[in-house]
Amino acid sequence: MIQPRSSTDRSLRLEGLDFAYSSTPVLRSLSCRFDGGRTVLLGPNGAGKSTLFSLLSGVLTARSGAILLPGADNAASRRELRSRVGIMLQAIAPVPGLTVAEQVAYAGWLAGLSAKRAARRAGEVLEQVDLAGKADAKAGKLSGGQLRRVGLAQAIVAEPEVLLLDEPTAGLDPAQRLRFRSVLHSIPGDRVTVVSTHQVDDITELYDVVVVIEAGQMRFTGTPEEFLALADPGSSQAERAYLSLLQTEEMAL
Amino acid sequence: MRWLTRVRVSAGVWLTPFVVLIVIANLGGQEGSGEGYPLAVATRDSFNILMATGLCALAGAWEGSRLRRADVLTWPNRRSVPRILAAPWLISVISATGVAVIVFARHGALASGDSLVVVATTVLSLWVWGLAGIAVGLWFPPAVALPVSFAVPVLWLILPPASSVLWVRHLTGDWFDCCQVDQTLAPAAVTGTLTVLAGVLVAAVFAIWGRSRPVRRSVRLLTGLGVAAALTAGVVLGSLQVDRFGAYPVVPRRVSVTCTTGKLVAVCVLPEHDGQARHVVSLADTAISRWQGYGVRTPSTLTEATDVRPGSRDLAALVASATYDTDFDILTQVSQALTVAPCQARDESPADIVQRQERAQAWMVRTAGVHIDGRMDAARFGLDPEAWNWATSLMAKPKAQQGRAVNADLDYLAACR
Repeated sequence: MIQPRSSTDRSLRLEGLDFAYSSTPVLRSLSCRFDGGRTVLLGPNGAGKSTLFSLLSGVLTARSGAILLPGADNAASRRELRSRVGIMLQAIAPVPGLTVAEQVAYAGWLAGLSAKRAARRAGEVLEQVDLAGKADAKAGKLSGGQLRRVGLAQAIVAEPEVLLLDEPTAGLDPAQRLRFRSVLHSIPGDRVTVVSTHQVDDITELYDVVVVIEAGQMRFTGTPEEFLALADPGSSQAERAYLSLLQTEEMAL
Repeated sequence: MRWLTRVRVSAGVWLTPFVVLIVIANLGGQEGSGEGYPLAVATRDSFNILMATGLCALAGAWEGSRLRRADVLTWPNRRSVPRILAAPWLISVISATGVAVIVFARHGALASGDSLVVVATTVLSLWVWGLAGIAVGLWFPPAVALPVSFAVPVLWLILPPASSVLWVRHLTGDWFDCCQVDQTLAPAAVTGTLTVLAGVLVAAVFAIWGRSRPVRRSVRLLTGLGVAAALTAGVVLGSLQVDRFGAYPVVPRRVSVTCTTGKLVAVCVLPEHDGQARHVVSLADTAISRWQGYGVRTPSTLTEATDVRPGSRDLAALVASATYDTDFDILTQVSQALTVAPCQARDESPADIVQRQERAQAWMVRTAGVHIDGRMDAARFGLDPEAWNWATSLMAKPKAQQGRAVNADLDYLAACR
């Protein structure tokens, strides 16, 4: 295991991240910090949320800037990011033929655990995501909501210090969404957890911090209450706050 | 993933019975062939085992397809790509490799250097095609990847021997026509095949690398170019090494012979014929004693050594690929050795050379004083009836006259260069 340089700062910090696909800039000098607890990352399509997750999970490398993992003073390498960051991808595609427990254990092995430890951890995290009863079912036979929970189990099986969830409830029906939220609630909240989503109706219940990015730049960071204060109180207040924020920025541009 | 899980879900394990069946079905009737020459046995075994390359590639493609479905290589894994692919690859090739090692070991191919080269190339072929199958499976859906990965190595093995360009077949690792006991596999055939395999290996590595990168047009383009370049380079560079060969990728075998000395003649044989040397000497002594009684000049040595200069009346070359299982075989080989004309190394022998040769040989086998079971006629010895009749006429004449006539023919043959 790679040992980070010691630091008392337990947050995930981004310092001036730049990234572009060919000549199309996606992230522009993005700086931000994500503290322990759950942060919701908002932004319109194309804002750079998925790219940011790819950088944070070590799939892509930034052109410039640094990512500092919790407790570290130096920029993290891709290898460190892959070791210490867990990600739940938007699309969960199980390996054909594997049971749920095997699927999660395989994710653990891929994340660096020994096969034996990965199998043991798979049992533990399936309890956490309320899928212990499905451990021996074929992962390919699960419903969309159950599959998302498998994805969450895969993301946390290696006990990452940073957890990224990309659109975890997109496409789920309300019942499945509620189930997923309760599972998310049940996961210990001391690690840095960043959830990218377009669903803002439950931000006060689920999240400690709201971050909004647009066109690869930071637009807002604050508590859910500060975020909601951007709009008048009432129903759909969160959506209106979100829209109001983006419209303000558009006019400013 | 635990090994038990891998074994349960892996195509390589399910395909094991088919691998065994294919190899055993092809091995039928071949046991004991190759005149006890480990290299010849190894090349024939190799052909049968290489038929399993298609199954290795198929199993690899199956594994690759499963990883592709789950997009495993583009997950932000801590494990490296080689580490992730090691187990699926191993499972894809292990059964064929196991069968190969058992078959080769059973036929003694692991004991000699020459045949070990064949073993190594065969096993490498299984391994490389297994990896190529994984690469194909990572890129294409199973409906395409599975049939393509099975068909390509099998067709690569089957089609070149059907081609009119003879040397192409030497690039596949199938050296079925190698080797007579006095021949060995040409190093260029081995390096040519290894070059093609290296091309396939590099192409597979390129393809796997491309699949493990985030999907971008530039990556796809680079991967495609890399794969095409590696395959082309492998085939072209391999071809340059074997394009001087005809149907047989062989060179003379340089190995020392062991001589057994009799009363009148010494017989020098390759290691494969050591066990029969004493009987050959005994029979050759009997025949030569009779021929000398007629005044026929005979050589003092019969040898299977490959560096014998033809035309000497004192040293006769035995055909090294010969068998010495019966007295008939030995008499045939000894009489042929005495009647070889150096000019027969050329493609076409003059008609009078063949005639004199057959006449001399017909006389020799009938006057050798060796009892052989079965009929004594021209057809059995593969001789022209005219030569047989000539010998019959000659045998009615005085001994000295018979000796002079045969010596005249032998001198004539030795002078033909």
